[in-house]
Amino acid sequence: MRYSVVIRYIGIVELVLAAFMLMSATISYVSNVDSSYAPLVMSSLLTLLLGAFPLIFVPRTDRISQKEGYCIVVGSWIVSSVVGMFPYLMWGGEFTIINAWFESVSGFTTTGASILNNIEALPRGLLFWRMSTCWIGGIGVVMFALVILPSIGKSKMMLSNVEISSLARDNFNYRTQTLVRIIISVYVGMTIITTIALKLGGMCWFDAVCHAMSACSTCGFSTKNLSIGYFNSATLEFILMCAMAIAGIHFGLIYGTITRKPNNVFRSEITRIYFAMMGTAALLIALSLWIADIYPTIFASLRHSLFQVVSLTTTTGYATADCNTWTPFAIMILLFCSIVCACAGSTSGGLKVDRLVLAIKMLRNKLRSQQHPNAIFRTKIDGVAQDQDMLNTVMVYIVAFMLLILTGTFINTLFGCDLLTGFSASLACASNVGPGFGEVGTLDNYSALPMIVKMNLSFIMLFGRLEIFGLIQLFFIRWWR
Amino acid sequence: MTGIRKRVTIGFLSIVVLLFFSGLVSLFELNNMSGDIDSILSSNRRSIELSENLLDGIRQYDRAVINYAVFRDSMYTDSCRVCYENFSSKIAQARSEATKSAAPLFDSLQMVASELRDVVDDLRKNRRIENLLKLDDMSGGALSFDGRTWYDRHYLPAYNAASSSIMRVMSHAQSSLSPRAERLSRNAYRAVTPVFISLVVMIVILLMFFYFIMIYALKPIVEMNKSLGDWIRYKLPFTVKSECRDELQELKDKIDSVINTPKMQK
Repeated sequence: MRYSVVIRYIGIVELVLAAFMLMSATISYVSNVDSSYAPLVMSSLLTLLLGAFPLIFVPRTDRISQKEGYCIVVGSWIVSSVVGMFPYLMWGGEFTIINAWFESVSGFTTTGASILNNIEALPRGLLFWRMSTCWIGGIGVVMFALVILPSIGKSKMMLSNVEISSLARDNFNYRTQTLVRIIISVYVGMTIITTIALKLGGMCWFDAVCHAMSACSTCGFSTKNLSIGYFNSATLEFILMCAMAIAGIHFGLIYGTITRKPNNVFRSEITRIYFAMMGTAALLIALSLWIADIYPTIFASLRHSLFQVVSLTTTTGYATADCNTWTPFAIMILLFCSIVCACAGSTSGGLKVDRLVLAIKMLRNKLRSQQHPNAIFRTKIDGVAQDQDMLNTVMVYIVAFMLLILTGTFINTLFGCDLLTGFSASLACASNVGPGFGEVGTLDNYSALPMIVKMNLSFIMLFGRLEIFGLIQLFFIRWWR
Repeated sequence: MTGIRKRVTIGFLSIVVLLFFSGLVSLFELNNMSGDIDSILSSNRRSIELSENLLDGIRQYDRAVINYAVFRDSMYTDSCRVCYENFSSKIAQARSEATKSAAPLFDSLQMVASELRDVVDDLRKNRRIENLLKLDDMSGGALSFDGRTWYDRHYLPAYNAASSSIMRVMSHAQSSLSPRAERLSRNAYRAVTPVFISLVVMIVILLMFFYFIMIYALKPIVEMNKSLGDWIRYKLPFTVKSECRDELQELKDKIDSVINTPKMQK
């Protein structure tokens, strides 16, 4: 394996980060040179040097192996998280090394879990950098570098193949260059539209841009301590709900719908199930809350339940209410939503509706094949029979995902967390949702957790974002042929 | 950037720039820290100065009152008022320089100072001393006003209350400095964080520099040397596996052509 080539590509990703740091420094400069200006400029210079240095020595390469591709993608996520800590550490405040690492990983993996007790104390420049990390992480740090880079032969295809999960490639039947352009245009377009809508809904420009970046990347970072509850506006909640729900759909389908292609949102079985699941969950929770007399009217219950369901299913993690006070039935449904999450090919994390649907169909076929031993049953999505290898991978992934959550819960409880907090934190980080229940509820944060638990959760976030196998492969790269 | 010399120069310059940068940052941070310490020290000095002024003010007032009431010196009638005004202005000055948290303490000091003035004013307004002094003179000292008793019974409690109040203000001013100093000692490592990060980045860049020099400069030279030796000794073909660039590629090509030319001539 050519380590120098891996370093070169990671360097290119760092250059993208340096550009975003410089942008955040500009925001800080515009905001009367707030306290984050010097940390952001310094971080940007250091990141620029780190990223540009390999470019001087390592020549451009048109071909990279799959092994190198994996190392570049996983390495980029890890190095980006480390570099992302720089502005936080230099600024100080609540950011110790562990806290800065947690916040940085949480941003890049679009988890949206925070260790900050007082978000509003952060200067604007740093708030914008925080949002930038999640916006870059939304479609993947490497994807951003691919967009900015000129076509570089087969290396671009290899990197995009590693970055985009196998499940998501179904609706992306385009050349690599086109695919990257589609993803970025949908993403940027969605962010711009959401920003304008939020501004019209009553937010200031800065909050509108930040929340649009956070909602479209399904991260859930907010500029306010009370998250979206601060604004107490049904209009803003509706706009953000729409943005989150759309960000949870396969980007290829969104593009197909806009360009009136046959593979569009309306014809997709997965998208239909995704919306049906959210609708049913919201209705059941609303009824549960209304019967338990938590909210005075069914409409108030529906408003909060719908927002929380969309927020957790899309792995965003915004909050308008404290879900810890909700009924156990409502909490169970929200936990289910946090496990299943949105569609493959979107910015969301978690198990994905696609895998759940495939697993249920495989289960049904298994039962039918026991009833009719000679019959052959194929698992289909949108009428297309799925490859057996892919189905096996889906089942292995589901088992690995559950094991990840269980291991995380085990470590969390070992270091003093109660069961609900330990389990929900582990689940929320593995699915990149952000808020859990118990001590890490929708209106709480992760600051009170022990340092080891924070480290454990930050690695769970990375495992979840890289769909488990990516990070595991890095540890066995020496034995990989 | 093609030449090996340019690459090495840029690599070297990057390290120098980083060293300069971390030095600059450390200077800046140390300067900030020194400024913070200076500000704490000057606050401390100023607080001591203001406390001295307050104590000095109340002492002068006390001396004037003793002269006026105990020693019955009528020359001090106005002096009491002047000394009180002086004391009052010192309180106002200390208050203007104090933190918001000290405001209740200054209110309390102002109140006890007013009580102190009222005690003396009562005595002065009623002109009791002047009258008594006259009577005393006429009676040959038989009807003497006991200034010491008045001082002990009426004035001293108010004076003690004012002194205690000044002590409270002084101790508050001193104690308000200690959290700042504590915070500074606790967060001192914050000041070196940018320097620490710069040093970590510099170490990473040094490691990369070393690795790239090994891969793209030293390794091809070593391989060329070995392969050339093999060709001279055993006539083995001249092959260099490492990736060559710039002048090293030219060198490799030239060696290759020198080796292959005689073969072609034969």
